[in-house]
Amino acid sequence: MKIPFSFLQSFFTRRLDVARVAESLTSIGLEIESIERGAHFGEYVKVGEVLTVEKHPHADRLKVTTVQVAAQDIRTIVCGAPNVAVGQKVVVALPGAVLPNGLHIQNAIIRGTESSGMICAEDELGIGSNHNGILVLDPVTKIGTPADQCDVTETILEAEVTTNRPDWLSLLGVARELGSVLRIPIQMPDEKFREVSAKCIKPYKVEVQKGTAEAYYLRRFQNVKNADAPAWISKRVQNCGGTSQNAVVDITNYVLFEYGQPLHAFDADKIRGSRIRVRFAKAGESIQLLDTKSYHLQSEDIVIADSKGPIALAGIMGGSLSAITSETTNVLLESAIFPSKYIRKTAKRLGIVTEARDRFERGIPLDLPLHAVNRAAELVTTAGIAQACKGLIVGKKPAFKQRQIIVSPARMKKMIGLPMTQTLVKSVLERLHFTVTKAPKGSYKVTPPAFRSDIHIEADVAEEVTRLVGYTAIPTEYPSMHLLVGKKEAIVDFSDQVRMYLASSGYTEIYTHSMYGDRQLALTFMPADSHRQLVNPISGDEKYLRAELSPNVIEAVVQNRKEFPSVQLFEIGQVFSKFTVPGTQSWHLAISVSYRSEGAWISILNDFSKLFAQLLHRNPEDIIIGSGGHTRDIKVGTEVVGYISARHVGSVTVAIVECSVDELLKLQLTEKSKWISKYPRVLRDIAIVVSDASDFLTIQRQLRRGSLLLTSIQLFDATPQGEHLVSYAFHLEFQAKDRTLSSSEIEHEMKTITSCIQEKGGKVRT
Amino acid sequence: MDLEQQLHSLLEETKQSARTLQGSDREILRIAVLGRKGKLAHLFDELTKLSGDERKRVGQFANRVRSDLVALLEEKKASSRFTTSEELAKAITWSNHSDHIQGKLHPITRIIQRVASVFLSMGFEIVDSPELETEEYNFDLLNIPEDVPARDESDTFFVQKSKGHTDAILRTQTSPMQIRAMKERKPPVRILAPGRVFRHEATDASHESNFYQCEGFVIDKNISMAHLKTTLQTVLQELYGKNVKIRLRPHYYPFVEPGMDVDMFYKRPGDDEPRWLEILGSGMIHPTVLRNMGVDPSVYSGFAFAFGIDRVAMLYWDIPDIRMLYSGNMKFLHSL
Repeated sequence: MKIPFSFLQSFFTRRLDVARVAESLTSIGLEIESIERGAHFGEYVKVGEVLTVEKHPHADRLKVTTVQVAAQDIRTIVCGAPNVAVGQKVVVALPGAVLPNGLHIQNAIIRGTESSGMICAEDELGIGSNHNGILVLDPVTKIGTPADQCDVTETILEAEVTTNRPDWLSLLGVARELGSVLRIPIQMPDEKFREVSAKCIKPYKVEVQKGTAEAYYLRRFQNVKNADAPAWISKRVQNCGGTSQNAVVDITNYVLFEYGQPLHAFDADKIRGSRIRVRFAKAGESIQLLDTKSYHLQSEDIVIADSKGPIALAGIMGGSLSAITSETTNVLLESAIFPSKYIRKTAKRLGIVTEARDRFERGIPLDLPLHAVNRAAELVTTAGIAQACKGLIVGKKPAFKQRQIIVSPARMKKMIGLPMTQTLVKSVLERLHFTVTKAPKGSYKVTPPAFRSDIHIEADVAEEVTRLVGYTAIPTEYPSMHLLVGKKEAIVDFSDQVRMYLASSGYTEIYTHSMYGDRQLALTFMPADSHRQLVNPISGDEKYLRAELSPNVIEAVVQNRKEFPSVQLFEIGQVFSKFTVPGTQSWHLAISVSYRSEGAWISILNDFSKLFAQLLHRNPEDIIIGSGGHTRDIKVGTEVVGYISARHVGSVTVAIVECSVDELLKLQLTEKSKWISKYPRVLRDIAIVVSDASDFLTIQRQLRRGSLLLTSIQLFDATPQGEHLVSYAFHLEFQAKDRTLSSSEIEHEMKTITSCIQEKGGKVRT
Repeated sequence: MDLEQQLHSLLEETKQSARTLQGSDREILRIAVLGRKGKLAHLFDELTKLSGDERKRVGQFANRVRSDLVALLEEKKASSRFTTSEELAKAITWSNHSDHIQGKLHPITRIIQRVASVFLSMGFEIVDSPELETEEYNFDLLNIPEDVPARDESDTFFVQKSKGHTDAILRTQTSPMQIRAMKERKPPVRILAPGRVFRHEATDASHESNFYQCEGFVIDKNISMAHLKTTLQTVLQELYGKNVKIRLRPHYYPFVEPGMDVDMFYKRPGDDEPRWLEILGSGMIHPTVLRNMGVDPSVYSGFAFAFGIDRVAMLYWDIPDIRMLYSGNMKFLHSL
């Protein structure tokens, strides 16, 4: 929310300091996110009065003026503005001034006439974009006043209003809070005005359907002048972020920003009949609003209707039919509270965002509508815009509910850890306009003020006291807690192990989005209909929830191959199938490689089998690779844990393993100590030629079956051998527990192994 | 030049040459110096020409020079043998690239692990939590009923209903895990849950639709806001150093009361001066939320906190654009 500093200052007689105010508000929870300082003009920019205006003798569009900038200082200034006129108070930049747009002002001769200064327009002062004419100040401004001290520019504080504090959506609310913190009184705005008897406007009868309004008032104004609102009102409305329109609308907006109460003005002469109804919309009704668009209404929408139909969408926007125009002479001013849940639903459905909606949605204090309508009447009558007619039309009076909370300073002290004496609690709450009375056992019965809709329980009250004492006063106090063992949940621990293992094996961890689109889906062989889709994707590129990690990972591999000859990536993340129940999670691991050289498939299978062996405490041969072409199942026993696959994307070959981390974790065996033999090991190499449809893990299984003395198998070479054949070479390690192996024993083992391989169709190369 | 000086200059010259020579050139140098007919052998021959005491004295020096030369040339010869390209080619076959590739953990992982290790040391349990949630857990049970303005549904990704299944959303915060974790636990508890969250908003240098939060909470008897402050202060001192300066400020989160934000006085690499940076949201767990967890608020109290992991990573490595973290770009990831 924008807080124009001079507007805030108007509630206080004591001069406020911008930095101190910002710090104080932030410290009590109204965070000032930024401060937009007004421009600084310096000593050569002053207020002057235009004394004479004459046409320039040598230029049709220029005027020669005399301007008084001090008692003894009258200057001739050439001016091009069409709106310059005798008697205006204007901003004059004297020679020596440097304007915010960088312009240096000097004495000059313009078309033969000497000009000693410049009368400034808004854009030249850097306070607006208006260059249609010079800036005209309030006539009461004193000649010679430095522009820095006028209301020419404004310092604006930008505040983040949390949703629990609707009262902060008004200058009054902010001022009240600031007064409580700084312990200075605030001056309430004037709400007194004079009524006259209604002569030009008829009486109205208001009916409020049950549940459509918590408060509803109408006030009649007659003899409305077609004039601008006083400049200070329009300026403040603009500084708060509103737009200036006509006097009546500007004043309703002013009260909105000042009090936080949205008001709506109807042109009374356009209301058909003398009966006004606040009711739920009927099926099939529609309304054209001030934004000139038509909206179809539903039965949860609240409307204001005259005898013919809806004239406003309650709490959101007025209808165009009864809008205030330059011809309006009689006005009906509405001040009301509409239930926030309906406002929220309707505005959300229709997609309308207005200042009024924002405030009704968050809730209006029950006593506010009456104050606001009186304040508006005071402003309208004082400015001479219109006459207030006798009698307030009451559609519904609010039913005040007293909310009482029992609080115990002792309990609050325990909750916060801050010393909270009874006197402190009482005095702080009273500063915040709470009513505090004694209750049994040292407790207090407290009643929050009407504008504090956020206070319901003792913890809320404890926060109030802490806020005003200052959060910085909370002491440092170490908790004495139970002895609990710090540990990671199994899946968290295991995922971390996998990450560390892969990172140390030359894989780079990536994080990709949890969504993808058709482009990434095309990189895989998954059907679109196996996915859960987003109702409201940010873009079509991200409409599917990822069922696998591979689409985004493959895309990343391909992207990286443009810069790197070898790419090895992995990701661990949650995936979502069509059947994933909210509140449950499944974790996947994707490992993917791509090289300029061959061998991606074997490389990734080799790395995966090592990870499997290392982290699950199993033999790599426990992995069974299914049959098939470019994509094959990875099984352990009968359980499918994932797949291995190879893709060609453009000119790039990518190999990928994707598997379920949850399934891997289930397969983890307890780590057992292995026997260590004191007898020497014997090393042999073996090369085996098989069909390229079989994988090296299958061969390893066959080797393992061939000899009980085999303690380790390491693949060290894979070379294609002509048509559909591949040669795998392994280092074999033999060792016995109880003896040194003789060479004849090894020969025997190698023979058994060879026959095992040959049995399965492999050829052992020698 | 006497023999002693000759020995000395041989040692110095050889050291000089050894520094620049590699491979076979180095082998030539070794033979020239230490070979059977090399320079050192020649000087040892000269040694025999000396007499009595003189020979003994210079002999001791000659032996020292020899052992220095041997250490210098023989040792280097041994290590260089393993770096010849032929040797490498033999040692590695189909994947001669893999040993050269550097692996790396993602910065988000590194921050999470670092934060987790601090909390582990304080007896927190690190738990896993689901990204696909229901509105009930993401909002209602966290004291954000449907008709309050705090329920900002415009930030939420909604997931299409699949036949026979509940409506789902992508969680907008890690907080729903508080309720889930307490379904299977009883106080006292200390829990930390890092995880991915989602916001439906336009992305730019400081906004991502996917990002990481770290949620933590403590429930026990007599837990106070002073304990919350002290715990967070301790953690921040572990992460950012003992002199870290923090500031507490009231803030509103529906699931805590009182609520607060924690700012840290921090100098970013590009800044001239340190500034207050908002880094943590926290507060005392709201009694309604405690009840929704099945915990009696008249017996137990607790605090909760959450912070953005991405922001910590961005400050730590001075990363200018949050989207780089999710780009999968190796060049970027290896630069950290």
